Amino acid sequence: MNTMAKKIKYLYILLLFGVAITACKKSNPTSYTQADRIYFYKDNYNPDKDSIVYSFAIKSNALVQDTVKIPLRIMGVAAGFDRTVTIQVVADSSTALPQQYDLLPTIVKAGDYTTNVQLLVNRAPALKTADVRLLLEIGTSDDFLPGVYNSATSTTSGGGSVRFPVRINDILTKPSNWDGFCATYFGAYSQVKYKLVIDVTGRTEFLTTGDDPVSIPQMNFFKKKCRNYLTDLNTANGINLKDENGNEITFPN
Amino acid sequence: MTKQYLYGLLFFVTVIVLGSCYKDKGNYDYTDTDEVVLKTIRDTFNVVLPDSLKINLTIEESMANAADLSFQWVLYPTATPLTRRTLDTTQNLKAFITELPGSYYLTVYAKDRKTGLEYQKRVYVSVISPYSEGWLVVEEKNGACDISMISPIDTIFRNIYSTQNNGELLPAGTNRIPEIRTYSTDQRVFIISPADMIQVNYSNFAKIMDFPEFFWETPAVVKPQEYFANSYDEMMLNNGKIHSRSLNVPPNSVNKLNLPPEGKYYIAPYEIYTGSGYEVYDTIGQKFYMLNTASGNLTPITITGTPIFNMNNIGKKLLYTEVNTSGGQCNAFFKNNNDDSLFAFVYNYSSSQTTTKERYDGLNAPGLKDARLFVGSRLLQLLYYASGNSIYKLDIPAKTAAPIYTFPAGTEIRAMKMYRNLKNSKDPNHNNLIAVATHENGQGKVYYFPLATTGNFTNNTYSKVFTGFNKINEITFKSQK
Repeated sequence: MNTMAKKIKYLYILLLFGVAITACKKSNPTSYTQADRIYFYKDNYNPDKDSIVYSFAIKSNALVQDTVKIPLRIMGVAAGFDRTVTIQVVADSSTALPQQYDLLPTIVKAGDYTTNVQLLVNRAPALKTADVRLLLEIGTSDDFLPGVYNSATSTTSGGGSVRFPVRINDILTKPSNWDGFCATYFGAYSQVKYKLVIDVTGRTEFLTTGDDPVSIPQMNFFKKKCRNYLTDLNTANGINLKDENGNEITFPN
Repeated sequence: MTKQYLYGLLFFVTVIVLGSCYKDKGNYDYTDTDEVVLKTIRDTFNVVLPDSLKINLTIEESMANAADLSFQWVLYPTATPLTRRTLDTTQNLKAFITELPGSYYLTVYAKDRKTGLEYQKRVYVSVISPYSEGWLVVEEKNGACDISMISPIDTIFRNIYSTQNNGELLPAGTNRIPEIRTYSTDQRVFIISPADMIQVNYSNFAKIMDFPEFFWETPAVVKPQEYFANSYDEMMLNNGKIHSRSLNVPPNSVNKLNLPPEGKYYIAPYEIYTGSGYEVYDTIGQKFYMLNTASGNLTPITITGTPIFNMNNIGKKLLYTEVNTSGGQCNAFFKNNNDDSLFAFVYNYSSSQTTTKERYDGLNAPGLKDARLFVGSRLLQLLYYASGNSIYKLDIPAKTAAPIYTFPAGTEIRAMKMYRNLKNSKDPNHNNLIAVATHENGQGKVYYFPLATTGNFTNNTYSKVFTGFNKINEITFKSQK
């Protein structure tokens, strides 16, 4: 019995100490203690968050080279010095020739949490007939390991990945929000119609957010302006304009 | 031994548990605080711009002179307050009011510096402009126009526009002032002249917007005629073409007037609003259309029931059309294409369809076919029109018109409008008084003709006349915001 009583006694003392120590312990927030990593950042509101299609066709004819910027974010805390990021091309998933692009050095500046991959794209004649693909991948550098492998966005948070596809061409490319937004005002997509819309409106993009957003009344105006232009064009030509598939171009009423 | 430990532990736990039930009586004392009541001479104040607001604040305390108060007087709109302005930080308010006309709350906060307690009192402030309400009168002299106003207390404010715009005058022929109240009770005032339209501040008539700013793409021909606004739907008529827009768009959207509908048409400048769009009359095709303001498209009228006349093929010259009653009944007056027969058609509109109700052919209405000034009654089946120096009343069901007032020979009737108070439909003059502007012996005059229940002028004459105007081109009643 004495042994039993001692056990109970020690058990209670241990329990009491445990409770007391737990109660007194200060709860410190945990900090990021893993290796520094970096990933392609997907902003939910960016229509190009999952991939970018760069088309020289909607740019000035004089433009022979341009820079595509792809956002990156780090995991961990900012450093007090500039850090380098390794961006590599996944060869077996890419068709772009070396003369069609250049990857500029990617640096995360001291104190920064974000940066951009700067992809220099060159206007090559071959881009007029077919687009080329580049699959970019974050490699390991002295300062960063690849970060989030694949995380989808939600309405409340962004996502990330370590690979990012880019398509480059000199062919009119359907805007990413055509089906979801533009089609209400311009109807079904075709390259001929898109070229007409660009000629009439002077715009290549019709985003509702960002630096130069369009409003719904403005889209109604664009629709009517395109429709009037098409009517005049058809009247002047004596024949109705058709798209690359042989379908007559129309705009909704 | 084990039992002793168990009892000891139980005792220990019991003490801890009961200890938590011990009432903390503290070692402090309660003291009474000073109770402060703020009072003003009344709870409603009016400010006629430009003016100062002075309010003395009386303080009643439960303990004499115990509080050491600081003050803050804050003014903010009674509608969703997006702005607030601290007018004063002394006990008695004295502040110059710079706010736009409208309804405001004024709250004084008094904070006791010693105790930190805060007391407050709220009063209602109505800020009005001398130009808030009254008959606007467009006068022309020496090839230029200006605006005067006859206030509800019969004061005449002269040369309002030039006074507020550094002496600038309006173009000759300025002939229309559409006054607009939007769905959000926003008030806008436009001034239309033969080759220009501007918007002015509804409070002080300072110019705020030029013609091109109304449009995504400025019309090639600048010939503004009318501007209508109802609910979310706005339309402007320029050279017979419709430029429209819907206000039913996300907040802060850039929103301008669209291109006109395609096609060959020339729309008559009369307003028929159906609840989801306008019915308009094409004077070339001689038929009605429905306008969708968002898309800017014209579509044929959808007619229900057996048509008494064909809205989509009237085939007559429109003289005038207007909403007759709030129930959606409209009257339209026509003459045939030979100018020798007169007609009144009655129809009911709704958002999606129209019903033809009555037609009266062969009206006996002297001077109607050449008349250019019309006022429809909103209470009776009557139309008032001016012909020569007389005002006629057309009894539509009886198909007969007769003069109800004749001005002295040589009088030119320049404008005629119904008193319509867009702010307050309970105004006794609302739809019950017609104002007429004349040009007599080289001077402009404005007459008030109250309407009797029969539709005739009360006592068959005018109740007031205002003189001393130049040549009058237009009169419009402007309501308060």
